[in-house]
Amino acid sequence: MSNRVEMDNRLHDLIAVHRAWLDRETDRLPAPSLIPNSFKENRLSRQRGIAWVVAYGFTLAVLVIGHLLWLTREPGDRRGDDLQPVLIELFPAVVEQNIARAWLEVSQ
Amino acid sequence: MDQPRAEPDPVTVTPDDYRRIFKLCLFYLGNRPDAEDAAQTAFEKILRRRDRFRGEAAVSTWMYRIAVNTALTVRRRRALVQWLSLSSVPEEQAPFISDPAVSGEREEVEKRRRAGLLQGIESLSAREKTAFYLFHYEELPQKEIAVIMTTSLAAVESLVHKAVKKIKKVQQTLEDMSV
Repeated sequence: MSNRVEMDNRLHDLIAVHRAWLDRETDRLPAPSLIPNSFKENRLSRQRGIAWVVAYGFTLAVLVIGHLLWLTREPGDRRGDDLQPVLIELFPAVVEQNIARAWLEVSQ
Repeated sequence: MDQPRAEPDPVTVTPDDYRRIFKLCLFYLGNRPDAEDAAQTAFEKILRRRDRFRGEAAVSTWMYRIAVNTALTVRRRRALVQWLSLSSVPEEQAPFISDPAVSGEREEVEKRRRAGLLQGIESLSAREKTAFYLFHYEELPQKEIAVIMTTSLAAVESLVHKAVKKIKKVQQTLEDMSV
């Protein structure tokens, strides 16, 4: 019985120590007036980062999938041909090389 | 005739609210960087959703609910990242144990006790942890805890009781091992 009471007391003491530590750490937070600014800046920079990653990832995925589909089409399939001028306009060097290679493969 | 429902007071967020949220996040996550991150996310949610607050509970209750959910989400995300990177928990995750305030002859004993408490808290389920924190650290009435956790008063009592029992068991095991 006394062991249980001792255990109870010890746990309560320990909780009080932990609570005091949490309070001390909380007291080290920046001054209240600085919170909204730092909060905004951190949040904005992170959102901007995520937006860039998503935008680049999506663009890259579309290009890769489109390119693979175009490369694997059957001989005589004309789908995608109308996109050529647009792609060449956007990525002249890369697309020209790939198209030339793909045409060679398809026509063989 | 139905009385027109009174509009709730607009939600005002003070630096003290932010501090309370940060403290809760620190309890859940154990280290400053994660706690700051979680507190900012929770704060952002509160600011964004304040127009949707219907006044069904006290503002602080509503804020606690958002903060608890956010801290749990950050915790789950952190666990996933740690699992993906196959890294163990870094030393800095437990600054409570390596607190510079702990020194002297009883340093080892104190560190062991603190580690025991954290290990005990870690062994709790999310709901037990929430009930334990709100009752023993924030010293909220069990009735309010029940509203925050959207559960019954009896369930809160049971959760707090179970949490204390589990922590004591972990501490006892550690003490037995160290003898």
